[in-house]
This record gives sequence, C-alpha cells and structure tokens, in this order.
Amino acid sequence: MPKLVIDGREISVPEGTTILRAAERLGIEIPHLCYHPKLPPVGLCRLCLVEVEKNPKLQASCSTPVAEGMVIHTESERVLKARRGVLEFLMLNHPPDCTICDKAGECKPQEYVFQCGIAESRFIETKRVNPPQDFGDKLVFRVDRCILCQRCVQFCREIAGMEELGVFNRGGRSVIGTFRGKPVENKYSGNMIDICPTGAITSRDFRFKSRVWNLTMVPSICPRCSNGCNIFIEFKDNKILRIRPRDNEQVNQCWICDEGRFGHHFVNSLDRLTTPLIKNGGKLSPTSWEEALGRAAEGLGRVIANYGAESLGGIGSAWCTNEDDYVFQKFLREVVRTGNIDLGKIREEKDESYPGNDFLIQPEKAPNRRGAEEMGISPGEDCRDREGMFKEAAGGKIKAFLIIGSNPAKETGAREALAKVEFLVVQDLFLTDTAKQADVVLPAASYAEKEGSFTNFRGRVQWLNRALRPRGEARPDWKIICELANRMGGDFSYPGAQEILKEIAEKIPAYREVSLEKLRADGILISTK
Amino acid sequence: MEFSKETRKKFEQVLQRYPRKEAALLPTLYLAQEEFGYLSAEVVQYVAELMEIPAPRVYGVATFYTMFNKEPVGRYHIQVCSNVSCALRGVEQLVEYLKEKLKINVGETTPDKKFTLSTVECLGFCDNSPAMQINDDYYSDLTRDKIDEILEKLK
Amino acid sequence: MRLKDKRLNILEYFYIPPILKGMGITLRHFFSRKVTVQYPKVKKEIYPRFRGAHRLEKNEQGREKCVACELCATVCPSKAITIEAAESPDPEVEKYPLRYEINVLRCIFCGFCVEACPKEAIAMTDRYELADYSREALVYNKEMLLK
Repeated sequence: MPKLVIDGREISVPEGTTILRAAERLGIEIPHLCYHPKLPPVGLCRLCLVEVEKNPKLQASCSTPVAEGMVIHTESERVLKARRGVLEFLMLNHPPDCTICDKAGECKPQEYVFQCGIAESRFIETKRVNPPQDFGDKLVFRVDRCILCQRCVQFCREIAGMEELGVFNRGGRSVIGTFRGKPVENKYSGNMIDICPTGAITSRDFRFKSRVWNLTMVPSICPRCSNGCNIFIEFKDNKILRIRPRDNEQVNQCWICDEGRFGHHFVNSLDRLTTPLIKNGGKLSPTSWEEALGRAAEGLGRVIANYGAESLGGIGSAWCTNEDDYVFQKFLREVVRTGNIDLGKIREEKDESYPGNDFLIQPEKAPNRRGAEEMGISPGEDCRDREGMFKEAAGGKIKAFLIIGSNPAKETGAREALAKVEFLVVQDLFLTDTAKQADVVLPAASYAEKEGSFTNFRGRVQWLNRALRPRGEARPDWKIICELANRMGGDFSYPGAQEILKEIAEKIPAYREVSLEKLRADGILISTK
Repeated sequence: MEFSKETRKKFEQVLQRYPRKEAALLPTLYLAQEEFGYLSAEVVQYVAELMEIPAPRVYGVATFYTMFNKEPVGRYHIQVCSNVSCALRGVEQLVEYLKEKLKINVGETTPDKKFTLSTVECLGFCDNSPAMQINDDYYSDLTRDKIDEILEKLK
Repeated sequence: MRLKDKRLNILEYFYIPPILKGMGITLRHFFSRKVTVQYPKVKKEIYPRFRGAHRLEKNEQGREKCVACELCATVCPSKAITIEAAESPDPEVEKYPLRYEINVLRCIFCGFCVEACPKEAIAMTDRYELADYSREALVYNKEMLLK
C-alpha cells in the first residue's frame, strides 16, 4: 500500500489507485470532465491536472497511478493556473447558451467556470460550427456544446456494448457522431444524458419541460421490470418530469434502461381513473368512495352468504407493493376465508436478437412478482389457481372476483368467465378491459403515489417513497382493501405502509430481517427458501 | 461490394503480419482505397464487417487520416505540398497556376474525372521544394514548365 | 422617579393663547404652497426608475425576446411568474415561452425579474393603476405583457 501526501494530508491506498481516486478518499474533489468512475480513464480533458513534486510537468490525476512517497498539490498556484487555462480552452467553441440549455444547473463546466471565476473568454474568433446531427428519438445532440470528452463513446463501447458513436475527423475538426446518421438504438442510451458533462446530449422527453433546480427529487424503485433499479423520481407540480438513476452498487450501479427512464408517462396519463365507478343499469358511472366501497362490500358479502367463501376468487398483482399484496391476501384469507388467490399474468419479453449488452433489463415486466408470491399471493391448499378460477367461473362455481392491478380479460377464456360472474370488483389505475366488465371499479394509486416495498427477482427488498399526490381521488391499494375489509367484518387499522411492513417482518420468516431503515438505504437481500 | 480475388489474397497476407486483427485496419483501408478508389460509407461498412470492428470506429480511423479519401477523386490525384519550405519557394503561385490550368479549385475534380487537386502537409521534399505528389509518384523542384510537362504526359 | 407636573402659568391656564397660536399655524399654511396632488384628476410625475406593471420586450422581428430561461421565475421572491417553455416555431430561436404569466396579485414589484433577465426581455413600465374587477384579469398572460 503506497503512502502519499495530498494537500498536506497523508493517506495510503492500494497499489494501482489513481491520484484522483486517492484524493476522493480524502474528500478532495479534483475537477474532471472526461473521467467517470464506471468508464476506463482516457485522460482527454486535461482538467484534472495536479502537481506532483519532483515532476517537471503537471500530471493528469485521473490516469496517473499513485506511487510511494508522492507529494501532490491539487490547489497550488500552478495547478489553478493550468486549470483555468484548460477550462478556457475547453470553452473556446462552447456556446454561452446556458439560458436555454437543459443541462444548466447540473452542468460540470458551468460549475467549474463559476468556481474559477472566468467571466469572459479571450477568444475573439468565431466559434466552430459543425453540421447538426440526429441521434434518434430519445436523445437530442447539440454538436456545438460538445467538448469531446468521449464519455458517450466510451459508454457505448464499454457499458452498452453497441459501439454506435465514434469520433470523426481530427484535431480542431473532431466531432462526435453516428455512422451514416444511424439513430442511437441501444436500450441504455438515456444514460448518456446523465454522463454527458455538458448539454451536448440532452433528453428529448424532458426537453424544455423544466429547469432542473425546480424539480423535487424523491428516491424510488423503477417498476418497469423485476430488476428493481434504484431511481429518483423528479417532479414539479405533481407531475413526473423525468426519472434518473440512483446509485446502488448491488442492483444497477449508476445506470438505468431507457424503458425505465422514459416509461413514466402512464403516471401522468389523463386516462387514469380519478373517481370510483359503479355499474348502474349496465353502465359505469362515477360515485363517491363511500358508496362504491359500500356496494363492493355488500356485493361480495351477498355472494359469500349465498354460495360460500370458496365461490370468491382473488387476483393479486405483481405491480403492487408487498404491503398491498400482503393486506390483499390477509383480507381474503382472514376475512373472506378463501384460498382462491393467485397472481395476475405477467408479461414476459426477451429480445434474443439484441446485439448489445443487456445488463439490467429482466424479461419479467413487473416489479414485484417474487414479493407478491412471498406475501402469499398463491393458491391455498385445495384451492384454485388463476386458470382454475376462470375455469370454475365459466362453469358457474366461482361467483365473484376481486382483482387488483391486473387485466386478465386479455387472456383466452377469461373474458367469458368474467362475464359470467355475479359480482366483480376491480382496483386499477386505468379503465382496462377487465375494469369495464366490473360492477365496482376502484381507482388505485400508482407506484409514485404511495409508499411500500418491492422485492426484485434476486430477492432484494427495496423501499419506494411517495413522490406525488394520488391522481384525483385514487388511493393506495392497501388502503382500499383495508376499508373494504372493515366493511366486511374485519379490523384492519394500519396507519401506514410502514406498519404493514412491520407486520410482514413479524409474520413472514424470510422477511424477518426487514426494516424500514435498511430498505431505505441499499435494500436488503432476503434469505432464500 | 466486395474485394476482388486478388485484393482478398492481399488482405489475408496483411492479416498474417499482425498479432491482432484490429491492428490490420490501416493497411486494409489502404487496400480498400486502392480497390474502390475512395472510402465511401459503403466501403467503410464493408471493411467494418470484414474485420469485425464496429463501423463508427472504422469511420473514425478513416476520417482521422487525411490520406484516405472520403470523396471520389480523379484518376490522377495531385497533392501539392503547402508547408513552409515549399511556400517559401512559391508553391502558392504554382497552385494558382494549376487551378487555372485545370479550371478547378483546390479540393475539386475536373469534369472528365481525370484530375483532383488538393493541398497537403509536408511531403518530406524540403530540400527539393516545391514538391507535389501525383498518386504514388513524387515530383520535386517544380516550375510552371515542369508542371506543364508532367500534366502533358498524363493526358 | 416621580415626575412633577409643570405648573401652567396664567396665560396657559386659560387656553386661549395656545389656541390662537395653533390657528395661526393653520392660517399660515392656508396661504402657503399646496403639496397635496389632486389624484386622480392630477397625476404625479413618474420617475424613470419607477417599478410599475411589467412588459415583455420584443426583438426586431416583433417576437418576444424572452427565451424562457426561467431565471425571473427562479429569483421571484413571491413566486408570481409561471413559464411554460417549448420549441420555438422560429428556426432562428431554439426555446421560447409558450406560456408566460405574471400574477400581479402576488407580485411585490421588487424588480428582481428585470435584474435577473439575461436577455433584457422584461421591463417595468410606469403603469401603476392595476385595479380590476376579477382575480383572473390580474394574471397577466404573454399577449398582455407583450402589448
């Protein structure tokens, strides 16, 4: 372990550590643009130059490994002068259009220029103009803002595994681009928006939606597949405007896929259910929660009274949180006393022909299949699974369904079976085909509008924080189930999702280690059965 | 688009000379330029597939080196040195003369696709400047008469 | 400490002389120069740096100068400015305000927005009679501000 001194402070780091990393450990931030911890150092931007004693030249700290006895200065007169010079060079052709740039506020050059106090450029010539380039539907590329740090090129090569970008021409004419104008198509391209230190690559989806300092960030978990990538939901005026990755070395490092990044629009969708609906004379019409819940409890109660508890089936959801599913199955098992519980069908998708490195996306297109199953969303002994339930419903044995967060009407035979039942209650975000057939439709809150936990496919339990107010009168699924249970003779009085989590930790052996603090940090890997 | 049998053979030989396939990119691009005249996007794509290197990287290499032509050139590619020694010996006037004679600008090709005129960096003929290169042949100690003579031969 | 009342002398005791003295002052001002301005019939002169209602400036093409950078909205201490940006229909301009609203009811006329603007696109006029019949009419939109 070489021992060295940085800015008068001693530290020993493992062999091969770069100066920049060693300084990081001491909490010293050396300005850098091309270096990124997840990409190989290329030493292009020259901004991270530091003074190493007994060395005639300044060294690029991102690519210089430490050596025994090094004495390094990161803030000496020489270093500061070089830094100002390099920065001025980097900004030669960079337009001063921070006013309209989406990156402004989280832009590294902007920050460094401000720190260095360079107010004006000494460059009197005209700035270089390169022809504009199209990077496809997801990214906007502004070639004039590019400082050629090549992070994006490195990302495509090393992380995405599809080398779609290259550096063309030489010297002052160098330009980043796609070959023959082919749009960038890899499934992780959105990460280039984050790693681009300037506003050269920005998001088409987020373009001009808001200045970044007006956004509120809430840590959450991506619901688009069962990988459970850690994200920040960033919103303004109760609307999600963008999703960004949140560092978690155990799950997604600092990346997310494009589907997760741009696939948040369903939350803001105008098609969302905003009030409970009940069927009156074959037509669904809006009503109050009081009436809808009363109708649901009465309808389900009537079926149980007339045909027995086993005539009722429940379908839980892999889109709901563990807390929702736990309360759901508890309601069915303890209040209704039926074991006809199963999970709605999960869409599976695997792109076998994808040429790149598909390192995050899981084929299972729901966030919480494993958690739902572990919460008890599976048929009890001698009870029907999903297909069995639909078969029996078609045969007239099952008379009522309670379906949360899934749309079985798309499955073969299910639509006919659902049409035959006497009473159908559906909880969902949208008026799905299943919901259209229901007697009572209850609007549910989306993942961004409630608290709870998801268990990813590897068994990591992670916590979702509430970002938005629920759309309209929508409520979290667990809350709706509690209300329903209380109207049917149960006593479900959870003040919040956190109390349900506590009960889960007590009742389900695999989850005994689970606590809110751990889930909020990096999540916790539950012991496998 | 494909290499001819002969070029293909040369390509195989080139591959033998390098420890890694990627290292043979430059000579392969030269072969391609010889074969197809210039490196069009299609040629770059073909070389990329042939060498199993991503096309943007091949295109990056092709555009980095000015000796690869990305645009079609005439049968005779006249490259006139524009660096210090030649400039001091009046190469600028010679370029003007060539422009006049061929009725084209620097970077252009004559309508009959015979000549392309371009200026390049030092050709290493400072002792015999001014110098120019036509395809693979060098001509030094240029004067107007000498240029007339050379072009006459090529016509 | 105990304060002792000052004993009034005989003239003061009868109050007449102080009243006459007061009347004297009133009378003197009765004939001196008047300072009250007869608003609204007469209006006071407005100084050039007066901060009245806002105005959005136009460029040579007659379009708004504003590029929707939202610095005014950011600096505004009373959050009176709402901007919705969009891609400009003008190919010369990249970003422009699709919606630009100043809620004059919230505005405290501090002028920070004018100071923050990097494009000198917003200015304050000398208009100060802003009363209206509805709250809605006092949320100035882009068209009103450009007039």
